Amino acid sequence: MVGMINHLFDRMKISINRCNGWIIFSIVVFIYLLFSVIIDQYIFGKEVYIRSFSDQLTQESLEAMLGFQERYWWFGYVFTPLLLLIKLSFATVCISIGTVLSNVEFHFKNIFKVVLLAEVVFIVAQTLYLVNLSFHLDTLTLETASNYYPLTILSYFGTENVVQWLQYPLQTLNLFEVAYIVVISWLLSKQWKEDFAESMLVVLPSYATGLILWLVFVAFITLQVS
Amino acid sequence: MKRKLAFIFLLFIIGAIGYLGFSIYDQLQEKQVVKERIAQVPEFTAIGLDGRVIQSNNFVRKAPFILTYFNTGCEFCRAEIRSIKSHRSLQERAMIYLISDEPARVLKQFRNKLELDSLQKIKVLQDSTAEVKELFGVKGVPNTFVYNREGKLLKNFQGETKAEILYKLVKK
Repeated sequence: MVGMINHLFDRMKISINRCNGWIIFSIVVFIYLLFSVIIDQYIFGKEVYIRSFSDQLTQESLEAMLGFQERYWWFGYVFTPLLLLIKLSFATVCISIGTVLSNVEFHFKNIFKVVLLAEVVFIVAQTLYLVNLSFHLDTLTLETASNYYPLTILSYFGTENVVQWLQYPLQTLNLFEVAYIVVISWLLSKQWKEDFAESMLVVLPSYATGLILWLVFVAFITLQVS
Repeated sequence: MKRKLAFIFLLFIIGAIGYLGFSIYDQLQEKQVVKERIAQVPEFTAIGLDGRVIQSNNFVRKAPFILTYFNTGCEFCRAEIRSIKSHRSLQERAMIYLISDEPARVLKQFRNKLELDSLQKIKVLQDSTAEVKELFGVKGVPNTFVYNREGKLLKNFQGETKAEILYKLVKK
């Protein structure tokens, strides 16, 4: 049994090294674009915007906003690959710093592939989020949408009880982030034949430092504009 | 070399976290100061489009008043002002001051274009030194402050706000 597992892990190591990062990246981009289509077409339709803003905006402003959205619907789709590439590269850079400082030999390319594969955790999270949203279409507003992201600190407190600048950080702190770190650590440990716990000790502080930087940056920008 | 570079990068990230964290703390402190300062109408002066200097203590009389910071080029500001203009009940209940830091010439053109000059309860003011902007911590427009007859802040709306919502507040 142990032999079989070891054999499986060895094969996994080989397959991670062999797989083409750009093909995986294209698949991930395709999945995220699919999510965007579902969100635009079936989740955040006109009704949600009207429900979210009709109390505060005048009819003419609401129509102008919806018109703007209709004209520039493609904007988000164009930037999805670029934003994803930046996000993945940032995570890779953070983990690379951790590996270099821990004297572990790793190619940037291989860490990037592992980060890409671990993205499956967020794909699962996003799928659950969309399913959750689809059950609340009748009452959904842009403000309450964050409440339905699964297993977050924000959904525990509720958006209405959290100040605006803290909402994104509390939504990002969720169990899927923990799972993401675990999966990356596990995949990396399979590559360099180290103990999983040792791999965690490299990935956790390096990724967490990058994540904290991102969260304080978003909180800073939110405070600047509000 | 690689290790040195990684260490520099790590220091940069930690430095950035520290800087942003301190800035967040600073901004929160500043927001709290502004909140306390405007809880009751603060003292300030603005200039009417006829050139007269208006003191803020003249605002507090026997009726609530609304102070909307705006910009003539802002579509959402224009929509809010048009909404206020067409809401007669709101004008009966409250005095409305529309204030901007743009030149008086631009504000006069705007007032004439929107036909606000004939309305007794809507006054366009100029914040020539951006004193009001600073005092109220205005970062985006429109930004509306609703005060009751005692000069106590009832609510601050950031972004466009329909006249109906303002009316609900002042009619209480």
